[in-house]
Amino acid sequence: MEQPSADSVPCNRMDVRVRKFKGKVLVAAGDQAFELEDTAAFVYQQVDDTRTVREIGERLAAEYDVEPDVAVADAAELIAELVRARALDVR
Amino acid sequence: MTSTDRQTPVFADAVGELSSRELLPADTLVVFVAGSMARGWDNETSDVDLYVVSATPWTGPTGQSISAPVVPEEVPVEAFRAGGRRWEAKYWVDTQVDQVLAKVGWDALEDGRLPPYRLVKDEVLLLERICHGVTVLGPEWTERRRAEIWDSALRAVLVASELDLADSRSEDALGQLAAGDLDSAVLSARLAFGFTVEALLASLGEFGSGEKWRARRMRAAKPDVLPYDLYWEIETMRGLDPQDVGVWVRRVVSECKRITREVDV
Repeated sequence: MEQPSADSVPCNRMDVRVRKFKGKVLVAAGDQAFELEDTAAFVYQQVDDTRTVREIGERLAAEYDVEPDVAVADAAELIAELVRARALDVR
Repeated sequence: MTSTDRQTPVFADAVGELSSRELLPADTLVVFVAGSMARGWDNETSDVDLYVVSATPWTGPTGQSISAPVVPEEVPVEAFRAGGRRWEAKYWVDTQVDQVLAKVGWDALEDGRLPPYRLVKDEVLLLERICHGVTVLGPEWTERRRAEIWDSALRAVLVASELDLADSRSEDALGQLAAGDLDSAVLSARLAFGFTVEALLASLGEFGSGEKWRARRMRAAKPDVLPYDLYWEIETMRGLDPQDVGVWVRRVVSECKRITREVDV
């Protein structure tokens, strides 16, 4: 998919299996399983079906001490990847 | 009378009760009171559950036992009445405890994966009761074993097992809902929630005591991720609308998934 807008709301899919194990976030979605990198894991864990991409980006900026605009763009990119991997939906 | 008032004589008399009935092995390493009495959850009808661990197998007078997948396989059980209560003592051997713990050692990890779930109910109960029992003889033994349990993969194995079951029941619930099998979907969602709560509780060290104590264990664990009021609302199915069960099923599955994302295996 194209990158979601800053006002998009990413949503968790109910057919995804997730495990937090030894500081890692492991995701099984569709027919693939993968480990999320640190930033992706942070973004994924901020998805609560109500926060927008912008709000998640702002949290990312605070967590990693980066410019909010940059963080919102990064969050959008990561969310797009997670949607392509069938780990998230966007509305 | 408070729960603590009722417990005091039991804790003080436990070794004496066993000894006076010649039910205390000569090579006893530890005796602890377990179960509801140890947690302060007992009532007038509660049994007194004792665990005795000795260096060699106990050969008691009654010949009754439970079995566990360890060597020796038998765990003798002695029961009697005292002070208006039923008392039951289980006699484990120290090497049996070693074997139970070896099943959940981190060295059992294969390719970075958790060891398979290989504990039976009585083994999980033993480990839970070591953690939460009140030791009346041999506190050094308890302290050492608690440290071993804390360092083991036990919680990770239990959490992973419960989460797998929760995911499976969640998938069942959604599938049944989609197929119009609404009653089955409700039951599956309820099961999914139960497994999810058990995973959450196990991650916080509250494992093994069964469903009847789940509310008590939730109050004891106080998990941030699932406040008690929300837990109790779902546990008692308060929001279930018979005219539209799908709303409840989807909400419960959604809560299960949310909790799962927060639980550390």
